[in-house]
Amino acid sequence: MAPDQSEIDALLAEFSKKDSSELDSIMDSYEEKEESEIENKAMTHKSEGSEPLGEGDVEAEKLKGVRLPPKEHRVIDRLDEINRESEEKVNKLFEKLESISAEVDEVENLIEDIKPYVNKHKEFMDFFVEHFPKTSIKKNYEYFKNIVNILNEIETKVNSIRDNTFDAMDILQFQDITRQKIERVISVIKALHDYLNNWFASDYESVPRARVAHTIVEEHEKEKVDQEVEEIIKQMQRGEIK
Amino acid sequence: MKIITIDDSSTMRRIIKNTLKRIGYGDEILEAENGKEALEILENNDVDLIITDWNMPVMDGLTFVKKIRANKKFDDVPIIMVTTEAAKEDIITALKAGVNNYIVKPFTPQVLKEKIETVMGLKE
Repeated sequence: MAPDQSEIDALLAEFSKKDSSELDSIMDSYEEKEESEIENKAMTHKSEGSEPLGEGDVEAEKLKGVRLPPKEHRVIDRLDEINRESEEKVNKLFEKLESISAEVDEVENLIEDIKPYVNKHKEFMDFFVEHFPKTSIKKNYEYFKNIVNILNEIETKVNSIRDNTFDAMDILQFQDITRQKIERVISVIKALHDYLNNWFASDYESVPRARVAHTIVEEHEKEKVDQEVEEIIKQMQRGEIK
Repeated sequence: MKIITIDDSSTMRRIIKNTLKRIGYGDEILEAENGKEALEILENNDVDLIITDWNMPVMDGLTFVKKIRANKKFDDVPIIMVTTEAAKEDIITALKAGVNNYIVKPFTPQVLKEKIETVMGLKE
């Protein structure tokens, strides 16, 4: 049991007065005192009938030589928490991507709104430049053509932002795949739990769980697997698989 | 087209829903977290297509498909299974249970579009 502050202060006061050999004997007597306290507590606990230990009895468990991890270190609970948190964060990320996508749509709509006016203006300027080639309007026409080019470039960029946003949304499927990989780890720990049930003690039994994924395809195998899936479906349709 | 998407992952439901909208099938999309919840929703809703995960708590996708195929009201509704399971025996099990098509996660919008067109008879 850890000493309280008054014991620490008393020890420090003694330390400052004694030489090193005396300090060793002080340490020995302190350790002996602590061991005897632990033994007394363990005996008391045993004589009380040893009911199953509740959460508050971690100290008593320690006295019997079992060191339970603190609740915040329980492996399955922590992994579940990681899954929950990552799902929550990915959903928030998805919301942001959806907002970006909606804003990109708005920008595209604005471009679409401007386009008829720009096109009309271009027709008008084409007419003038063709019929009055020597007027100063030709110089303005060059400026205007630049504006049209910039507008087209903005449209291309907007489309690229949309494509990248959609790609990012697709990539977020990794969260579900990672979650299932963690579920597999949980199933291994669950097996270990049977042997090491105190160390891995958890409330996991009360949480309904999905069947653990048998196969999770690695990225480099995906194309091959997709082809195999297609082939199996075709074989089924041809009646080749009974 | 009215579609129900069933997945215990809220992220996946969101991704599927978003993808369906992008590929032009976002008219009406229902959501369920597992097979049991989907059966309850389907009691009061007709759907044109079912997209389901396999590994889910409470009622998994395979059990759900078997129950749906045993129900005369839904025995001809196309079902696409979208799952991480990629073993041949799993795919065959799902197809035998009544799944019309099968997608291994992660998928692209193009793959989902093609599979929908295939099961809906929109594509040869």
